[in-house]
Amino acid sequence: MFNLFSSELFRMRKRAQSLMLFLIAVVLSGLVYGGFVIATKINPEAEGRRMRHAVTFEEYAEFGIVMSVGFFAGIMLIIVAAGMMGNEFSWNTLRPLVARSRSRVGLLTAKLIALGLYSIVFVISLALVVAGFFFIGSWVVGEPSGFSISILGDGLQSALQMLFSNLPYLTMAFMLATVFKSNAAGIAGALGVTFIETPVFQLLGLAGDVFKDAEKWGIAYNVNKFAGMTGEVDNMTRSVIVVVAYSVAFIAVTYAVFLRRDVTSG
Amino acid sequence: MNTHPPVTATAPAGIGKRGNGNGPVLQLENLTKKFGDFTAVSHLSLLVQQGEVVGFLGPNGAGKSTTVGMVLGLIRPTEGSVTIMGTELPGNQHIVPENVGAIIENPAFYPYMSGRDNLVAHARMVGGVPASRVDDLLKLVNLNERGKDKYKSYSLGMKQRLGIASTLLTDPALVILDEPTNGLDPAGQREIREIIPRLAQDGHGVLLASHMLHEVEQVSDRVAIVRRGELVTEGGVDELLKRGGYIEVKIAPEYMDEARNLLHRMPGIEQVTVSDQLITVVADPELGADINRALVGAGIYASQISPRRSSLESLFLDITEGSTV
Ligand SMILES: Nc1ncnc2c1ncn2[C@@H]1O[C@H](COP(=O)(O)OP(=O)(O)O)[C@@H](O)[C@H]1O
Ligand SMILES: [Mg+2]
Repeated sequence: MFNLFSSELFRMRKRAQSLMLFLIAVVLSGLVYGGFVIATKINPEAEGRRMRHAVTFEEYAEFGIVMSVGFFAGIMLIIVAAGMMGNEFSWNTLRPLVARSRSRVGLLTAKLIALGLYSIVFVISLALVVAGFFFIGSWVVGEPSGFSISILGDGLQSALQMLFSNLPYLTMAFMLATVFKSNAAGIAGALGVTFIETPVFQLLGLAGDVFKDAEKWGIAYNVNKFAGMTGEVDNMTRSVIVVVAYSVAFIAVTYAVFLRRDVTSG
Repeated sequence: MNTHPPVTATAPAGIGKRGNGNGPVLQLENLTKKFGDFTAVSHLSLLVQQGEVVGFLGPNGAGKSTTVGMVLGLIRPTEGSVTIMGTELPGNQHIVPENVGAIIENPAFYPYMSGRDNLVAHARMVGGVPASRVDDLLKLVNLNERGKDKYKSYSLGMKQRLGIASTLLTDPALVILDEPTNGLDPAGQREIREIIPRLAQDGHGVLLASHMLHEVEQVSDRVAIVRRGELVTEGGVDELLKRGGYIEVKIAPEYMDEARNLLHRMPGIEQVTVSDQLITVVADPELGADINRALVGAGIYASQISPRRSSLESLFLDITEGSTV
């Protein structure tokens, strides 16, 4: 298992994509935040003091982290999660990989741990870079940055929480790529669910209250609570349980399918 | 003559147990694989000993790669067993990375890494491979100068050679090469053909799966010929070339099973294969009269008994023509 994990990390490290996706998340976060700063700078009247403050660390742990980690990192990590297995099929490296593994359980577990480690490093690094943006932004609009260690700490904690809340999507991407032997299936499936779940439940909600209750057991409703985006922030315990339950179920399906299947392609 | 670097001398303890000399490196018994109703491999038995190259010859679709997949634990046999170095496979997957090195159909490596890094990644996966071995192997397959270049920039010949290097990383008892010269020009094919006998000299057992007779006959100590998942004949190349005889017996369908069982029991008959209305029997072609007498004695009348003499090539051609891809 350790050997497989070490090899997995080695391959991730050698792959340009691992760094590139991070840089893309940085650039996209920079563009959104930069747009915010420029708007504030050019039109200081716009929303007066409130807007000027939003550029400083006052909004780091919420706006900063939700935008960069919750949104951009979420997308990038879905791509990575799907690629962990999906690329092995497209490169035809799955069969040699399985033949070189002492067990398939070890192989999948090594991949999941590598994905977890990569995600944590990705999210923490992104949160730190975005903290840098807030320094620059405050300086550009001429406000004191308002930086404090405790705000940074809150931001990092919230980044990790947001990563946790993304687990259902990451494990779903991993599962779909494994089951359908396709990178694209993992990415499209997980992103698709990310975008459609809430609107679908809203439409169904028109049909009856049953669906309004059902939504509370869906993924998005509970995940969004971690971003402070769902109205009620009560009952976080249930949301934690729901997030864990979906993730465990997706991983279980992945193991069940992959351990039993004949590996005749990839 | 044997001037390549002693790549096997650096094998660490724990892997590369090919020196133990007890029993076959690979033993297939009654191996069968069905995909739904379709039987890809049927009751196949085969041995590979240490230090020998066994050619595994058959037309496309004969079930060679499926067999290789079962040996590597990729495909679960429907029936029968795979035993590697005395350990039976299902449930013992760990013996595969430790004892088997394989190229499966086409060389497959990570395109974004160099050839060398691909070997390093493979070595890390199995563990216990000394660092120097990667470079020794690159030298063995003449890739030392291009080792640091990206795999995706390699020619097909270089990819195949990197594949051979990777099969030797753990100094495995068994090396499996599935169509190792696929798509290579004659010069590339020759390079691979030159490496194969060296593997056997170094004590590896080699299973060489191929649909090309000339690729197999030059380098193999023994050849097993398969068609439609069944073993048609097996033996030393010289022996097969000398013997090369078989008899075709045409029988009405209703007597097929009885005739087959009868012929199975007859002395002097090595292999009985049934297809459509034809029983193919590997035996001295002179045995035709005996076969006729035995069948008649059992009340079975063959509509045709044709003795055939053939070289390995014509035997193989007959087999190949008889099957569809
Ligand atoms: N996963 C699969 N599902 C169904 N049929 C398969 C599968 N894999 C291989 N086959 C069939 O099994 C037969 C043997 O294939 P294969 O072992 O690849 O032959 P060879 O390597 O000798 O060319 C072929 O007819 C092929 O179509
Ligand atoms: Mg094949």
